[in-house]
Amino acid sequence: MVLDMEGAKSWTLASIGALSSWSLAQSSIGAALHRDIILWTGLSIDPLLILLPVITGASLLLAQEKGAIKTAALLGFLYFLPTVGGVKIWEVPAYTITSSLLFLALTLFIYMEETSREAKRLEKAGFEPDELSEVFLWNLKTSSAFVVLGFLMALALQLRSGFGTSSYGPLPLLSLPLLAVLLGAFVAFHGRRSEGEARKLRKVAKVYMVAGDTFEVSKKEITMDSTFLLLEGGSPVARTVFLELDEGAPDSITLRSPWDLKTLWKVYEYEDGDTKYVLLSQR
Amino acid sequence: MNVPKYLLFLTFAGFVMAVVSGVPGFAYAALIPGTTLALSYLFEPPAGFSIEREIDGDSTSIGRTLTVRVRLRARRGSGVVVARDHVSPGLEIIEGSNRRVFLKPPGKELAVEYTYKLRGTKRGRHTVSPVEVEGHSLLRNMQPSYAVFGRTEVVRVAPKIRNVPRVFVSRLFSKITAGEPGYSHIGNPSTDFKEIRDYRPGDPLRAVNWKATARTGRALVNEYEPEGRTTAMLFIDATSTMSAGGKGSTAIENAVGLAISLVRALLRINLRVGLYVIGPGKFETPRSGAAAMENFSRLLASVGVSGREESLNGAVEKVKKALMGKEPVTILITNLTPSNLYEAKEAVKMMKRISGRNKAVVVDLNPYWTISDELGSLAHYQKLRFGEELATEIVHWDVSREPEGVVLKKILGAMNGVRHGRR
Repeated sequence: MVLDMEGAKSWTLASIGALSSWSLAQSSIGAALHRDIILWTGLSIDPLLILLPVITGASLLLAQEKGAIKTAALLGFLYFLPTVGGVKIWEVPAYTITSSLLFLALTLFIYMEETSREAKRLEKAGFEPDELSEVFLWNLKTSSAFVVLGFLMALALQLRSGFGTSSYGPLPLLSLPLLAVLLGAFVAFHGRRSEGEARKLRKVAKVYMVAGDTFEVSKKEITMDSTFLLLEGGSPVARTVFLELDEGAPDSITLRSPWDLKTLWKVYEYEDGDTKYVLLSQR
Repeated sequence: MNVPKYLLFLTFAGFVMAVVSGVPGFAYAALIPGTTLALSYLFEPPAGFSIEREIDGDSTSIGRTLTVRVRLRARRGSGVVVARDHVSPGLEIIEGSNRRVFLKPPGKELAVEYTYKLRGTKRGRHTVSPVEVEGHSLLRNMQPSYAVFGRTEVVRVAPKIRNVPRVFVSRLFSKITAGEPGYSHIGNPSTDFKEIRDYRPGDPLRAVNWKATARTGRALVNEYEPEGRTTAMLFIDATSTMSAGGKGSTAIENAVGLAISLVRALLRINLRVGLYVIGPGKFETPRSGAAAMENFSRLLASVGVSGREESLNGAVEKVKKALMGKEPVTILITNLTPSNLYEAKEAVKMMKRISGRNKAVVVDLNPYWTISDELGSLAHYQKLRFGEELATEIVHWDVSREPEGVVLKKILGAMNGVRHGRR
């Protein structure tokens, strides 16, 4: 495996499971379970000791079956469920602290998942596993700094409010629209920057198909909205075909070899400096 | 997965939980994904790329290596930089990698250089695509940057050519060449154009190519093939039956290798050589001289199994007119199977008619040895029977068991043998 994140992801998932188990143990479900245990065994056992292995074990199994993200979302919902309609006042500090840990784990979890998924995709595409491992771990560490910064900010607010027991004004709630405005401004800024500055256009077509190993483009037909290219020569082999197209080529192109036929569409567009790059591939 | 959407959902969920449960701590906790997302927009993906690529040559031969050197710079942004180019399957990367990832740290320019080595494994015209670069932001929240640099580089890989000793070939063809005035270099010129060459004292004035002379400023003359020179016409089957064989040793690969060596051997003894590739329908009219070898090499370099099905006899029929009156030695290189046997018989009949008093030779490749010995052995016996049915001079080639040089000598021997009426 290129980037062995599985261990770290399992631990993070187990932590989220532990927080959900704790939350359930505080609820009426936990109390009912406690009662039943006394009835069955005559022993007073904390329901958390029962729920913890059951939920973490089940979540790890579920992650393999249904996917890690769905399992993490389900565990988050289980954590939140007992709090619907309010919690006892003496439980507020505990929920305040555990919720921070929960959000920290969920945020880190998404980065682990995304990083390992991307690393695996590139490994399949033929990139060196060692290099991928090194670069993506470094990237994950850098990304974690942002998450930790957010955690420290949340912690500061919690400390200031006595972990939710004293009022600290409407700042946390107001920060939501503030965040939305900030995000909107950044997105708008980036969007505006990349519009209408390019003077050169570079159009390329890329697709994985069966074509000759030494093919040449032998025929070209251009219609109003499509270009047709015939790739001839060489022995058949499944390969990446990468072709540079004319600036005026339409955004749809059909490549035909004696063994395969692919229609490509514009899938990506990016401007860097004065050049606009357009990639045509399969959707 | 869409990271920004996920983080945005998490942020909103925290605030909703705070409202539903009355626990303000949930709203504080929601600042973790929210702040992370907001901060991430401060860092754009790596951009401002520039790339220089050098390849130490545009031609090589099978087994030889070429070094590719790439210098990559990214001036803006931060995150993961992915650089790659796409190399034709006939070029093998033997050292280094053409797919690399780098980390562009925030506030620092990325300047890296990497090299990789290519080796030609198959003859032909291969390509190395422009370099594609992608830049992914640290937190994968923004559209990746994308750029393409350089142009498609063409690398020509020359095939291996077996040399048959000139003495051997001359001895084989001694009976053809001796005393035939038309075979002489100084025979009467025909109307078959050979090449444009520099004027030499004694060349007739009517041979001067005035247009070419005016264009280049040098006196140039048209040279025509001498009359009576023996012609050899090669037919190479590139239809689907030629795709049989093990990986890298298919019938077509071996056939092309053999054809190149054969063409060279025939040109060296001053025969006029023509070539027709059955399937793609590529035709090179009969010609002689060292310059012709370049044309044949270029044509054969890109030959592979064609998707177009053309019958063997149909191909011979097609070029019949161009060979009228020449009585060429005809050679068909194919892989005889039950499915093309009838076509081969018809083709041989036609080849014999074209060749007149000359020779029609069939070279039957058995590529099945490269798959398994059992298959090769079975095919061998079947092919012997097919050969008898064709009733012409036939050379069997058990690919991977018999060297190409030996087969080449057999073909030259068969051409000579038929010339003198041997069956």
